[in-house]
Amino acid sequence: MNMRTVKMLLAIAGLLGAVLAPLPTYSYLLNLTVPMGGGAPQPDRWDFSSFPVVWNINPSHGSNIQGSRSVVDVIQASFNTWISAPNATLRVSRGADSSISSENASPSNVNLICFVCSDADFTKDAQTLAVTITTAADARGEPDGHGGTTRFAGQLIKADIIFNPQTQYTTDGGGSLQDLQTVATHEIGHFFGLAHSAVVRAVMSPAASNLRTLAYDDVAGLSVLYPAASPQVPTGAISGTVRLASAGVFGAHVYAQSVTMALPFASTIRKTPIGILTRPDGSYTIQGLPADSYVVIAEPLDGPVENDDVKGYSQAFGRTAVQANFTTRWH
Amino acid sequence: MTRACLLMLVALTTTMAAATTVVPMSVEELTRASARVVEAQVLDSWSTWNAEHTRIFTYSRVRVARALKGRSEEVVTVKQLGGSAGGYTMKVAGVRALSPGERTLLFLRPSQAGDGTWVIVGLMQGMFHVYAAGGHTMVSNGIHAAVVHEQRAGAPRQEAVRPMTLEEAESRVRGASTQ
Repeated sequence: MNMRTVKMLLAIAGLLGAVLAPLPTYSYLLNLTVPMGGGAPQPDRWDFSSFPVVWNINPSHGSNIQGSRSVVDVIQASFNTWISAPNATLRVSRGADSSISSENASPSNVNLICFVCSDADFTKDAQTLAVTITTAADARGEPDGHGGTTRFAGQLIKADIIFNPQTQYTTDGGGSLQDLQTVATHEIGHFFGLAHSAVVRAVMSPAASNLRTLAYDDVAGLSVLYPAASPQVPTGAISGTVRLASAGVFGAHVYAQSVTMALPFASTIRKTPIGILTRPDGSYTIQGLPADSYVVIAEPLDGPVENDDVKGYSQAFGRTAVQANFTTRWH
Repeated sequence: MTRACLLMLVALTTTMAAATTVVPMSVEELTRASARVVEAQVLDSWSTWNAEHTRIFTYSRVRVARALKGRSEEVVTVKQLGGSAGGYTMKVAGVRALSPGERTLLFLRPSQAGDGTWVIVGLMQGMFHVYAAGGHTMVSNGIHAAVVHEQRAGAPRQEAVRPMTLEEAESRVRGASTQ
């Protein structure tokens, strides 16, 4: 860990207290696509008005999955966790079941959920539990796989979730086996366009453990991508800039941590910090913050979540790595 | 250790299970699962759709500086799922693309596609970044959280991956190769 003491200037607008304001249009730990021909990276997301977004499960599975619940029940429950999130509107449903058992045979108009696809190289290692493979258009006007064309760069047109048939799962949770619902909930976050979060207790943390419920950080990310027309819980945003020796810091993890016991979201949503990474100029906007009082903290991504976990973020901005040459500051 | 990291570690110790998408593999496990372990530098990369036009793969040619396990070959082509081609970008969470010029320690096995390419063991776990720090050449695959899990759980597994010197990694690879 780099613990060099360096002078860092945090210029943060609105440090304490969420500011109730319209949500800006761009933010955070989302999967980003660089538009063809250049331009600012755009967040990957579905356009629910372009074509119906459905998931197609092949319910077949091997003896590696045990438990009293069916895999269909687990996947439906995992989707419901996201669909029921406050402040977001998701229009996604279960489509016809699929018999596809090969990852390479999944057509463009199927969002496959597969437990028996063993043709992907990762399935050789039981330690790789599952992968979500998303496809986004690099520009508007590309065929969307459903008879139309895409409307913006970053529009998701397909997402497959492949569970490793070598991994030992339980549908009941607990015990020494992998909890299928925990893994499914995390992977479905990727399905909707979320990247890994540096907030460790978030479902989208790359190290999330036994977490079937969403965290504030997950809800904030989802509500930025798919904002509800009438949010159940009012939210605001905190903006600012992280500077080191007057230069903007790229990829600093900035998060807002509540300093109260308030629970603005329902009790099923776990209270966590809400975090993002700074842009190349050091600026940031933390969106989706429920009304509360916050301390804002900037820290380097030097573990447990680090640059390699968010490499796609760096690459989207033409960088090879986020900056980690500073120490934590909080205001 | 930053204040925030301490908070994270406290949080981690309260709920123990395996990581969501990967279970950490030790250097020894990675070695045993690999046909080759090479220290290499990335020469170039390109992405293209597969023949069925269902997947985009990124291919990277790496120049092998030395082989720690397996046959030595000057240039090896590594295949990773995901990339940008033909107006689309395919992403796989957790897959980190190799960058031209990058120094890396790779744990590889032949792709089951039988196309002569090699894939990284453990999705991204078998891909170690090589970097200089404190006068040493260090390697890390970025699976820090896994270390916390292993320590807390007291599992009888070997130590999970953490940043280590290249010399230590080499010693462990060679040790596991002879077992």
